[in-house]
Amino acid sequence: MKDQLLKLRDEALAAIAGVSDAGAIQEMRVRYLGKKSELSRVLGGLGKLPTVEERRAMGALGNEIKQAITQALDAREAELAAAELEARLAAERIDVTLPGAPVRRGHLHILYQVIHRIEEIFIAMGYEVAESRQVETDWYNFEALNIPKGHPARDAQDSLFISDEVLLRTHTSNTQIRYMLEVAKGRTPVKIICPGRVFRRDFEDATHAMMFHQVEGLVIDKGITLASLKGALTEMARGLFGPDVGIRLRPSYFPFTEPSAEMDISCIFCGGKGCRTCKGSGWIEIGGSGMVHPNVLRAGGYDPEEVSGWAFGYGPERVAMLMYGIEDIRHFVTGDMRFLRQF
Amino acid sequence: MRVSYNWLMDYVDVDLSPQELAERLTARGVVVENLVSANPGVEGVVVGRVVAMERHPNADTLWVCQVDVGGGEVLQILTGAQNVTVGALVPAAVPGSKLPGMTMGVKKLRGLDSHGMLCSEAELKVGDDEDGILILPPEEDLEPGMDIAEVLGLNDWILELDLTANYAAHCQSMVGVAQEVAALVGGEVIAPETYTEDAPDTDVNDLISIQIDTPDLCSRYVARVVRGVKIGPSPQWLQARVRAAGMRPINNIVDIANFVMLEMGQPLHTFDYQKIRGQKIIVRRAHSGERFTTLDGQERVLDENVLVIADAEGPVALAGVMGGEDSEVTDETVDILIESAHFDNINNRRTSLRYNLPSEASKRFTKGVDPSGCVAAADRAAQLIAELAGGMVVAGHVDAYPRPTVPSVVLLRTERANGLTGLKLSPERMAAHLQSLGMVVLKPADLAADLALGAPETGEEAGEDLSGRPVWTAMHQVSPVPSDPDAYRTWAEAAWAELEAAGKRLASLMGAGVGAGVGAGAIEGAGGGLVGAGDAGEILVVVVPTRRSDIAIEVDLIEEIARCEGYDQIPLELPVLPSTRGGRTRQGEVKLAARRALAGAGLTEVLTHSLVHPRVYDLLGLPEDDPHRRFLTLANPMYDDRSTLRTMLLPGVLDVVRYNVNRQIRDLAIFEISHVYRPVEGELLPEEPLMVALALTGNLAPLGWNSPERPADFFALKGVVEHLLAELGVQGARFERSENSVLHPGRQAALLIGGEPVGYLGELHPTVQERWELPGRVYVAEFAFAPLMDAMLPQAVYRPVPRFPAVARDVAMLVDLDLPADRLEAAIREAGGGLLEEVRLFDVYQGERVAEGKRSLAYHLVYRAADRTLTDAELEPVHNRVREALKALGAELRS
Repeated sequence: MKDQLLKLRDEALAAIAGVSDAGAIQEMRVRYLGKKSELSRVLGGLGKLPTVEERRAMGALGNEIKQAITQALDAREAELAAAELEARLAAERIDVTLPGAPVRRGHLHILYQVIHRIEEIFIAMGYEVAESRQVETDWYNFEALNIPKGHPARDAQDSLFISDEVLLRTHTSNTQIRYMLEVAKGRTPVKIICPGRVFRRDFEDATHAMMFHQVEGLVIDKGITLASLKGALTEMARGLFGPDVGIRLRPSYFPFTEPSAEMDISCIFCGGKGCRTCKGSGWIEIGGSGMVHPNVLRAGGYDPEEVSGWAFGYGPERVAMLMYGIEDIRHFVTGDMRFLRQF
Repeated sequence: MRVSYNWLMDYVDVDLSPQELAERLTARGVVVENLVSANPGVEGVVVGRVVAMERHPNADTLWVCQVDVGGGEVLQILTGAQNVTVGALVPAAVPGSKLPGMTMGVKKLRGLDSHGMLCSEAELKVGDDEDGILILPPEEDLEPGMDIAEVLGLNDWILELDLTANYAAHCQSMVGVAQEVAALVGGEVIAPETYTEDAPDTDVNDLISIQIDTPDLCSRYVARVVRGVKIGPSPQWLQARVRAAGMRPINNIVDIANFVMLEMGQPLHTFDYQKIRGQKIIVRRAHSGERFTTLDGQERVLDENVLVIADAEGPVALAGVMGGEDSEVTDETVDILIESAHFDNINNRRTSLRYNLPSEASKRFTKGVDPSGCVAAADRAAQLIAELAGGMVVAGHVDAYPRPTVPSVVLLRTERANGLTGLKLSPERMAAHLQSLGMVVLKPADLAADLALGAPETGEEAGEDLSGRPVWTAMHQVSPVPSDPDAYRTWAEAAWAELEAAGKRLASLMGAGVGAGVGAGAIEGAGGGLVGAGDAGEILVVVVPTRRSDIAIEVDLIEEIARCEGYDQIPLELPVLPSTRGGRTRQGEVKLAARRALAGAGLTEVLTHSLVHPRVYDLLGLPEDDPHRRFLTLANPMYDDRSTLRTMLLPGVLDVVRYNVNRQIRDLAIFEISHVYRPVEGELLPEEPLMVALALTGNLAPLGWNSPERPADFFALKGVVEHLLAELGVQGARFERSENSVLHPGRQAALLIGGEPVGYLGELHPTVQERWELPGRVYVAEFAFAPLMDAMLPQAVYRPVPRFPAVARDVAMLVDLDLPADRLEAAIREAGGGLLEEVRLFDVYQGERVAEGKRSLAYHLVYRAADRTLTDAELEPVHNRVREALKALGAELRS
């Protein structure tokens, strides 16, 4: 019996080693270990063995062999499964350098992105964003801003008129007056930032547009000075162009401010050393600013003896053009996807 | 304004290079836009004297000149110019010298050597004349061999000023700029001499009288006469000055008039005195239809809007714009009438624009000229004419000055100056700055002293006693005062009124402490007047020269102080303000959210022009009575394409589609959120509602190697609209079949919010698509933004996350084609009640496998109870109600 068992074992182990198909493993399990297997049949004859010792020894051997076959089957099955997985993974290999499935990417207009950024800088400093109308009366666009009829500043801002009394606003400064009269109504402090669309009668070319945008700031309270204007403008410039940017105020003239100042930022390209963009000066002109003219405060219902204020304004188109090196102001309105999709 | 550096240095002694000067002026608000060398590239060219000349043996048009080029050297130089004569002084570009763009050498011309060349104005780039050689005036101090660049004033720098409106007036002369330089960077002003050596026993009043009919348009007219002049070219120095300013030398008289204008800022006109008829100048409005030939030979038809200078018979000049042909100074002129007048800036500008006659003179009048300078300018011109053109100056001026300009008296509270600027300057320093600008700074007590003496006797200036009247004295000193007795009387009346007004302002500034008293007493009551009351700190009484017409109120002075001190001296402070809650308006917030939602859905934002051509409404095929055709039109459009304000966004968005499609960008998903402009009956101003526009065309997703094409269609567009509504939390939105002629009749819907239509969406009508030259189908939407804002949930409504499982059921059915899907869904939801959680349409089919006139729809329904697991027994009756409801609508259930 012993020989029979050992032979069976060798036969089974040899067969298992030769299996190359995971499906055949189960078959072998039945064949070598099942109730109807040769091993079962041989061990069924245990009872016929003469001595207890013999029966015990053969029983132990039988179990040993069962275990060996089971182990061999499990090992072989694991081996085959691993090989199969490996083969499948190898077959599933892809070219990962192929492009991903495209997702349609949307874009906010670059100009509005810049305007939003400016708004955020000022909102963080406690400013309200105020907007107002684009078709405006002569009073709100000019008279209330200390630009009476016949004032040369009216020529400088060639206007598009609907009628004698109504025009397309030439600047966002009308929002100052409307905010003072319609929202603030004499309350202080006033801290607003006014983005918006403005219009001038101009030839259109790479640097001139009939329709463009402005962002204007206005602060009114007791004891407001040019020094705090400098501070606020510095914050803004750094928020937009980075922490190393400085600003400079230069005397200038605007009818609605006195004293008035042109505001420059230190050149963002050369850091102030002088380059082509800043024409060697180290400074780039950004916009205008100044202390609100007493006549403007009065028009807005404030007493210039009681409060003072400052205002500034500039073009976000220019800021965007500087930030990204955009060469033509017309790109903002043509709607060319090759332009808009870059931002 | 072009300022020659060398010339400027005649009037101010500062030790700064042109570059330093430009930098410092710019920083102080007198912006030097460009600093350019006056030398265009002339180097080594010398003055030559033609000592002999003969015709070239082999060329009729060439001359062979022997030219003394200095240092005893005589060179043979050939020229084709025909204006050279023996003895003439000419620019000789000798071998080795340089002209703009070339270096000279020895060149053979038809067999003869030319050692360099003789130069025209154009070759030296000092003028336009290219026909003849530039002949230098025969002057004693010109020698052969002198550097021509030096002689022509080319070794100079030109400061091109870009003047803001407030400096434009007083900085449009060399003296004016010199005054700014002195104030801003230091140095003394050297004023030009304005004396004349008058001929004895003459009186200009015997020769001419002035009558001003329109004092509103001509506040002053000063005339002088110089007799017996000889017209000829100006000396080289004068020509160089005129050229440096960008003007062209003409003859000595015209050049002097221009020189004085450039130097002092006062435009002058010179008449041939003999051609003035009736010894009379009348300043008046032209008669309607009056004809007049200006000195450019053009006959002009005038009307009442034009101010003319006339003699006894008719116009002789368009005032301040251009003279007449008949009275022009010619080579035969011997007697000169100098006009030094002040004309209204607006009228002058209109006339110069109307006849398209821009000139240095009208440019100056437009910006504003100081009337106080009329006499000095006339004197300067008279003296220069006498010196350079011979002749004698007739004694006296005729000075008609019906509307005198007087110095302003402006009060400055020093505390306020520091309070507005953030500077901390002493009153003394402020006073010093103002004095450097030519102002006189006094104290309230001074003004009180003036007022205490009462109005002065204003007979004749000569007899008037100024002593004890500090402000009055200053008003006499800051700007020239008219010497003509009548003119002085009117001046003095106006000046005293100004002084009294300043007194009243001062009294009211100090009023709180002194009571209601006005005038000297009140001011003195305030403690000797040296120091003002209360917070104002010290008060300075500032007398401002008339040339600074831009300075009228306190803040104007504060700006001058800050400018002189330097804006760079202003400290940098963060505003110390009560903290406020910043933020956008609600519309601003929602607009930004909507933009982000649409961009997040893969759309690109565009920004189109507010101004459109009205033909866009024809291209859209809008009916004649469509309300969008009621638009605002510009009275003065720049371009036809930008002549009206849009009433809808769609045309602009379609233009963007066409622009891109024409450039092979065919897959587009774009949006715009912006304003349109709609006139309102009976209102001055239009409504400016905010609109949302969308357009889709081409493939929806960018094409990849493994993604299927998905062309845009109505439902893609509707999906975007639904996405936006969902992102904003808009409630009560509905889509309804609509009839919009712009859109495909079968593929369009109205968007309703709260039952009210707010816009449309759909496929562009094929005829509109064709008219807009669009090759493919385009899906567009436009709707009002405000109703969306009004229908938004304030915030999302939370429901607890489900704890019990859901049960799903599908229902497929056949229905009539014209039964809208939203009715089926509404029926399902109603019947499903509270247990029905989700209804999703997952299949729509019509075609071969279903009967004609029918379509198949399949819905996936999800049921769930919040507090238990649903059992079949519980669900069945509910689901059956759904099935029955569908059957009631005529659906034939298939599962």
